[in-house]
Amino acid sequence: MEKALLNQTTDRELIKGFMAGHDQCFDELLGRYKSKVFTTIYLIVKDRSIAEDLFQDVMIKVVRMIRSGKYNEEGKFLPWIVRIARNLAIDHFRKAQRNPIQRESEDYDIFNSAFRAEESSEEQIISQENARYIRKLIQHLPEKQREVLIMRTYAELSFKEIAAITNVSINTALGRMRYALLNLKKLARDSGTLEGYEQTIQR
Amino acid sequence: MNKPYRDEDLIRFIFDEMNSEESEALLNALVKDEALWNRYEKLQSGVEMTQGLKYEPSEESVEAIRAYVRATQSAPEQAPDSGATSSFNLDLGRFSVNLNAVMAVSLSVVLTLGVLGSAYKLTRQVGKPNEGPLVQQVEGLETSQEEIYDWEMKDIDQELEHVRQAIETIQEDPLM
Repeated sequence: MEKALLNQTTDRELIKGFMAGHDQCFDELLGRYKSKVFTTIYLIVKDRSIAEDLFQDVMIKVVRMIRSGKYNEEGKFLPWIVRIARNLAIDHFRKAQRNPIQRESEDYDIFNSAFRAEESSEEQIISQENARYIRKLIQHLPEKQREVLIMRTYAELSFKEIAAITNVSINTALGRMRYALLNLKKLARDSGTLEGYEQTIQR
Repeated sequence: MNKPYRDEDLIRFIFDEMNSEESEALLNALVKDEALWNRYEKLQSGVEMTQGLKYEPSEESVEAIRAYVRATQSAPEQAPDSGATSSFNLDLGRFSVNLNAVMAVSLSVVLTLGVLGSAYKLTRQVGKPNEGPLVQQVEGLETSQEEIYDWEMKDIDQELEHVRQAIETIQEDPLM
């Protein structure tokens, strides 16, 4: 199948193509959602190398489930894959909390290369600093609030989809998002860097 | 009277999850209600803080997934009307015979019969008594069975004599 045609193909059609043995269909799905899935995992587990491992686990699980015909949420591929990612990431996070291993802090953040190519080196440094700062703030949010924030903002799921994945009502999901946003601002204010942050984004 | 908006409504508006009627009504309320606007700004700035955070998996991870997909590949399904078939079918009205299958079965039968025939011949040969003395069956060897037997016995006697002598020597002088 032509690459240009694949770009215009729906998730549902790509899954059918992959089930029929056309691997390039899965490659297209991987390209579409790898960033959203990886960001979701990374912001939950907070460690890049673990996120890389879990990302591979998620995708391999997805491949197996599609091939064995266990995927049946037609037209809702992203929420399905994010649910798998979220469950694996949370499992890992809870295990890690039970058996904590001291890890070195990460000194780098890998941004979308498409963004970086358009930025000057100074802008890249500012972006990286902002990203590191925001990521740290997000990590201080309570688990349920962080989960909704990540799924809505980075995985781009609707509140209805998040509610289904987390087994709560839409109002609860919205309420958690509200607290997440308010707490994020409060954390930034308490850390004394909100002013610096706001100055940075106005440049 | 204006509808009392909750923060959850504002969040739905910020994330574009309201229908057009709801959005328009909320926009009208935001223009008129300063307190509502302040709540909206507070939530909106929280959302803005989180924007631009996007991570990519490493190329190694992506390649590892692609390699897994290739390694566990299942053959693509053939279209039924593709015409690129290696199977030959003979249509006999109500019955359709696959000639490939017929040829495979025939070949198996011929091979099986051949193997069984060879086995039967071998069995018959083994059952027959040997014709003439054994030595005559070996080309260039003109010795009778009795001679072979005598030669072997003499050789063994000599070896036994050597052993006997060695034992006697040891018994006479154990510290040798």
